[in-house]
Amino acid sequence: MSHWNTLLQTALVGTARQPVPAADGMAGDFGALLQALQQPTDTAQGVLLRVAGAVAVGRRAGFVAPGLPADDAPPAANDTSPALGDPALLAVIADALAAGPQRLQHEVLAVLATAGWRLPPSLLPAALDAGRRDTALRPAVVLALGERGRWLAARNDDWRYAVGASAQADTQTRWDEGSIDQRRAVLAEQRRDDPAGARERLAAELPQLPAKERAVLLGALAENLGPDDETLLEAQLKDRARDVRQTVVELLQRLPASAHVRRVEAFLAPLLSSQGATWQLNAPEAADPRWKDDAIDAARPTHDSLGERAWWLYQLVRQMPLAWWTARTGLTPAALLDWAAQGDWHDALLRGWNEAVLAAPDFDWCDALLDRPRAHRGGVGPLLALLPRERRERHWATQLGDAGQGVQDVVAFADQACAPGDTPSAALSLRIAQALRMRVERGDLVNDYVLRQVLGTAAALLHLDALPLLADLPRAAEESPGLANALADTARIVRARRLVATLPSSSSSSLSTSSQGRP
Amino acid sequence: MSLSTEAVLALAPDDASAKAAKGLLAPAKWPTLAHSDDAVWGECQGSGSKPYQTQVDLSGPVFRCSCPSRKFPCKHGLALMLLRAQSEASFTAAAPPPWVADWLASRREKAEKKEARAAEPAAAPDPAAAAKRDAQRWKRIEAGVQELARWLDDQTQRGLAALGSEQAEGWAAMAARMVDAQAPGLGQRITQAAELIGAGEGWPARLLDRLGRLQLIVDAVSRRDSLSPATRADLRAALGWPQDREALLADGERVNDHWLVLGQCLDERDTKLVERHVWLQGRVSGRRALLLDYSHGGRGFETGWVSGSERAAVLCFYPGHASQRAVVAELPAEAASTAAPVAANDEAGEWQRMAQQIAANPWQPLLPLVWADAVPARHGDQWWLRLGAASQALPMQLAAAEAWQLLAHSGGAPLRVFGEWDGEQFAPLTAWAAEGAGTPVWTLSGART
Repeated sequence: MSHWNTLLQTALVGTARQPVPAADGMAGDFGALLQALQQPTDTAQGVLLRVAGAVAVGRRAGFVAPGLPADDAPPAANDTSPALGDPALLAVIADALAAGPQRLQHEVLAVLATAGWRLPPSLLPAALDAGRRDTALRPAVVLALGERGRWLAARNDDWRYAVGASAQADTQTRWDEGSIDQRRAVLAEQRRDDPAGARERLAAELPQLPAKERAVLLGALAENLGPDDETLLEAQLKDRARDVRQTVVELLQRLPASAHVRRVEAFLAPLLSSQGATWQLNAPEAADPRWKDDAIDAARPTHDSLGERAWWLYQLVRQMPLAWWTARTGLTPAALLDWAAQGDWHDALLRGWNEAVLAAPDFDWCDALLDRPRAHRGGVGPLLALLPRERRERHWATQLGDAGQGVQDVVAFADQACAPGDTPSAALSLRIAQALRMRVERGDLVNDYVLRQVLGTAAALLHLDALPLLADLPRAAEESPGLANALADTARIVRARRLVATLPSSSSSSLSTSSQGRP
Repeated sequence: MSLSTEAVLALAPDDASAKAAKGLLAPAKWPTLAHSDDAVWGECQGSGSKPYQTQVDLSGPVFRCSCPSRKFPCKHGLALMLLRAQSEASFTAAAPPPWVADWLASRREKAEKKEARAAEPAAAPDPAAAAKRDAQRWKRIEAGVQELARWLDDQTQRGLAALGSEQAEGWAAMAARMVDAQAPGLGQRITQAAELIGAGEGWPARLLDRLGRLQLIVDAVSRRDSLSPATRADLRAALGWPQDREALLADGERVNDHWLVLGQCLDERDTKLVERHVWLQGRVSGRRALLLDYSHGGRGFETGWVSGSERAAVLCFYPGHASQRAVVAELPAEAASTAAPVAANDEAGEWQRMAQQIAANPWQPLLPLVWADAVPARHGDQWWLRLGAASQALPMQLAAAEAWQLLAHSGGAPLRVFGEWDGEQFAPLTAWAAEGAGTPVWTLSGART
């Protein structure tokens, strides 16, 4: 035992009970010093601490750093793409990562990666944290990380999502070692040229996967879906996990000739009858035990707004391809919606059709649903997202109105409908921006709290061509803090987007960290 | 040299100022932006009709603004320097307008006056009166220290194992007693030791270490007349005996050199008080120096230092053995330049330097260390700094957000790292690429609490 430890033992017990240990074991000058300190003097006061102090100073001077097990992980691989070094752009990106909004974060990351840059080390933790908080941002984060970022992510459990095989790795490595998003991308890619190969790749792995991954990877079969996929999908209808069954049902719905669709049709067809030119719909009278083979729940969730029979009907409607309704009745989607509005089972039908459209997009149904009075607003954004841009914007142009009175709703819906990275067309964006600017100049911001929010959303959402209209909005000498914040936030977002849009491609510029150049 | 975004933000008195400054970066907010060789200035449109006039003397950098903010530097000054860092092209070269030129001239004048004052022989202090004051203070300290010695012996007789939270009051009272006895350094050591009681595994060993070194100070007080003047100066510093600045500038050891700013940090002592450490290393002398400054109520510091830059200065060192604390005696008004990479000893040499430093003065609480090849690492729940190729590592004291930044810059490869060592933990302040230019890749930002 070292002398320090014997001293410590005495100190713990107390010198009243245990004498100060002699420094016998110590040799040399230091030993002599300690022995001199312990020579009996007129008072024994402080001897223990005096010796401990001498040893403490000696230990400090002779400090030996503790050993640490070797780190098996190799250092980060060298990056092929350059790190962005332009200070103004870096400041804008750092700000966007810290203060949002998500759409701006996505834009700066995507622009960066598309132009062939990667994030410099100082921004990696902020970007990885932004992706941790927001799953929708993750694909953009991962693309901007570079080798250094992936290496860093592997060292923090919170950043696991970004770990995966290097983006440059071959398909097999990305499939074997990649993150769930990477594996899904591998499948989707292979589905394009070799749907059967991708299906077999997935089928071989399926039994070993956790439920969440089963659902995600099965979803990749949507790419190039065909009758050959039915067998695999049909087998998954009995999966233990509801998420998986739900994914499978949505895929099978897009195969009108599948056994599943025929079975659902057999349940549904007897409920729909015609008397002359009038169609009558009934809900099931009782649950059918065979339903469970087709992922239809007989038990209504306790808090569902539908009644029990409506709940059963809704599930049948949800799983039936929409084309069946028009073929069976000879009515257009618009006419069917009018017919449903007059019947008893309106809520069940609307909800079922809405979900059927989302599962297997049909533009005519989308348009028809969007043209109806808004039964449930929440569904509008996702429906709009299904439509190609021109068909989508027809609805917005109508809603916006000639005087721009609907601008707040249009911005809110467009925000839902446009995926990150997507914007409304330049023409519509200009109309929206004009309407917003007009209202700001009119002074509406003073009392309209929703408009303040819409302004920031629009700044992040609209086409770049419309941004000059949102720049330099008029400021008043007296502004409430909330108003000043809204305007400052809008200005910040507009400025960031316009600056990032000037980012040149990495191959044609010298903005990398190695050369501290300026534009 | 123009400061980087990070370097400017490091000058902010608090996070709120930094954030506010970032909100002022739109060039539209600045009807005027201009620069000369010595200064940059601009007019910032605030909420009032008259824009604020903001100016920065680049030799400091020293800030001035016509806004009413009590923060220093204010958000306008920070924003001006951020704009300078991020879009130099927005500034036009111009001759300073009167409101800038007058201020620059008055600063030069003041500096010259100060120099002239320094050149004059100081009024001879009355040695008899000074000696009497010293003797009185020693008497008070002696009385307090005798009480402390008995109290310490009491603690060891009863044993450290008996200590718990119920003794906190007694320890606080003893710390206060030391402040009354005009030995605040001892009071601070007792307060710090009291915080160790029951804190974490192995606390008795850490406590014994502190109390043992405290005992050495106690012993030295009664033997003060037999100590050399240098050791007595070290003892006075350990007791917290304030150093008279005028006397120091008159008699202190002066070292004229080009000083590389190794690193700096801000420690929030309490809500109002911020303590700043700036560590320097002389290019020629190789001497390392600590400038210790305090700022009350967010007023900021008179001189800004940029980590990784170098500037000429005359430092005046405190008396004592291997003294590292210093004050700036002369600071020629020339802009700082980017320094060559900091020279670093090999590992053995750095340990040797540290051992000599401790042997010369065992009471210095912080020692500066530079590691040439150090790899930050996370092991268990603790951050480490691996040294060279050996398997040895120092435990690091660093906030998680900062540690991840440092790790991102390293990528598992060695960095050159400067930091403070307190005998138990290494607190990194600056990191350079192992073979890179003089600009650091990472500096500690924000105040430590």
